[in-house]
Amino acid sequence: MKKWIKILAVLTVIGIAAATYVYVFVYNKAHPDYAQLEPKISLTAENCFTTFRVNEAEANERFIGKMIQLSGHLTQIEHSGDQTIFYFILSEGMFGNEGVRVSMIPDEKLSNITAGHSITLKGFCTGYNQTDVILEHGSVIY
Amino acid sequence: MKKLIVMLMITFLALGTQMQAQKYITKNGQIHFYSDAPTEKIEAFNNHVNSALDISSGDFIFRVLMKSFQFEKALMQEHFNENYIESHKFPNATFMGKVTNLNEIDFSTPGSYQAQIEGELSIHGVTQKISEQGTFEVKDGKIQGKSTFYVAVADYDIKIPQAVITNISEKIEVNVDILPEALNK
Repeated sequence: MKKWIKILAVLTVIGIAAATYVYVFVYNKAHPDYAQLEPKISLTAENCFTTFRVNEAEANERFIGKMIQLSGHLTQIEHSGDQTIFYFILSEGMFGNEGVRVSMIPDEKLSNITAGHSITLKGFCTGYNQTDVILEHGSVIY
Repeated sequence: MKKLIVMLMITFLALGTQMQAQKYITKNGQIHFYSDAPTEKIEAFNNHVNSALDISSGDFIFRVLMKSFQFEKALMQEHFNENYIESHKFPNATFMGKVTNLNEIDFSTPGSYQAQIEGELSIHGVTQKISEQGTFEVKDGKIQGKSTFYVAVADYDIKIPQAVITNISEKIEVNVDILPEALNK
């Protein structure tokens, strides 16, 4: 009888430990710390934009879901709500400017950056919406 | 003669400016969706919706990158992209349609107007005809468009595994909120 109780107690402890592990580390696992992610690819903003325009399917395969490092001439900085968007304007289409838009991780240091200079940054690519290539969770490298 | 040429040029310029102001665009439109299932509530936000509205023809389009949806839980975001929407295969959702009751909306006069919008919605590689209600609020020279509608996951060939069937609603509530600005090129 005591043996069965011991087995049952051990199984219960294992069960609780497993459930806790799944709840904390699987169900509630944290989002990636994008600021710490190393870029997988490094290229110019213009090269990135052109790749999407020329062959979207290939560019999707190459860039979407990856942290990429971009360098280029920062043309415009936009503020929308609490978002800061760095914009590399590279073309003009039917709906206005086109290029690479990078939604930046909020950071006090962003207010020191002005448009009209070269910049290197990284961001998580979510795709091309027929006007712009979109990068999110962006941060400045230099 | 010179006067006539100058007047004609001014007229054409004015017409050109007026035609440009017929198009309104935003790159920061918002879409929020909400699944209210018996065992779980799931919601996600996307603040990078590309949208264009032509107030003279009623043409209305928006394009959404699926990977841009942000979920509270990383696991849900992962499942949404990898298992359900398959955003590596179908990275965009698009709507192309028209405001069909344009004659009832005065975009030059402040007010709130009910809009009937019809068109084709493409999600997960499947295109369906939809007809939904929305509102346009004209205020301070700006047009804010809002709409709430429901999308049945089965209509877009989105397969929910039996094991999590009670975690995801069969119909997802979608809220669209755009504030396009006049396109001045």
